[in-house]
Amino acid sequence: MGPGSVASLLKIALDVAHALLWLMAGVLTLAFITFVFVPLDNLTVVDGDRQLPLVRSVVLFGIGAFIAYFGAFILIVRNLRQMFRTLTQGDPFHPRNVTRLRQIGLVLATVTGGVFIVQSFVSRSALGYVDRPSVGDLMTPLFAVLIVFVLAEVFREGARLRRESELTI
Amino acid sequence: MAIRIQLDRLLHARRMSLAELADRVGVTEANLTILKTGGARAVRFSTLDALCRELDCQPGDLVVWEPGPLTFSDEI
Repeated sequence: MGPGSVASLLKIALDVAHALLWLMAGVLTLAFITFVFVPLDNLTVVDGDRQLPLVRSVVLFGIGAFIAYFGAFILIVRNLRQMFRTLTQGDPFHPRNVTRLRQIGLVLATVTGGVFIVQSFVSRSALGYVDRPSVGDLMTPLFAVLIVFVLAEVFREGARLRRESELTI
Repeated sequence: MAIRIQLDRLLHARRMSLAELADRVGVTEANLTILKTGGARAVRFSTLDALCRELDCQPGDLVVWEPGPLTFSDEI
C-alpha cells in the first residue's frame, strides 16, 4: 500500500468520509437537541408564494431522519475501514469480513427502504412541496445492495479457502 | 478426529525427536505439533512424501482412520 496507490487513496477517502459523517451526525444531533427547547412559533418555510408552517414535531422528525441516515452511513464506513485494515494486514478473506459485508448490505437495504418510505410519507403530508418517489429511484440502490451481497458470498468462499489452507501442512 | 497421525509412535520407534524431524522435513516444529495432535486440516503430498522418506515408512503407517466425528467443519 505505497503512497499514491489506489489502496492508499481509498484509505484516505474512507478516513475523510468517516470524519465528515461524524461531523454531520454531531451537528445534526446538536440541532435536534436545540430544536427540542427553542420555540418555533411563527416560523414558516417559504416556497415561492406559498408558506408552510414549521411544526416542532416535523422539524424533529426531519432532523432525526437525517441523523439515522448519517448513522447508517457511519456504520457502513466503519465496517469498510475495518475491512480495509484486514486488507493492509494481508488477510482480506478474514471470516469477519463476510459478516461485515452482509451488515453493509442490510444497512444499505434498510436505508434505501427507509428513505423511500419517509419520502412517500413526507410527499403525502406536504402535497405539492415534495415530489413522490418513484419505484425507478430504487433501482440503483437495490442494485448496489445486490452487488454487496454477491461480494459477501465471494468473501465467504474466500474465507472457506483461507481456513482450508491455513491448517494445511 | 477420525483421521489420526501416528507421528509419536514412529518417532519413538526411530528414536528421533520432533525437532530433528522438523529440520529434516523442512516443516516447522509448530506445524508438526499441529499435525501430531490432530489439529491439521490437510496434509500436502510433498509433506507426506518427506515424512515417509525421513521416517522410512509408508503413508499407511503414518495415517490411520478411527471411527468418530471430525474435529473441523467447513462451515464459516
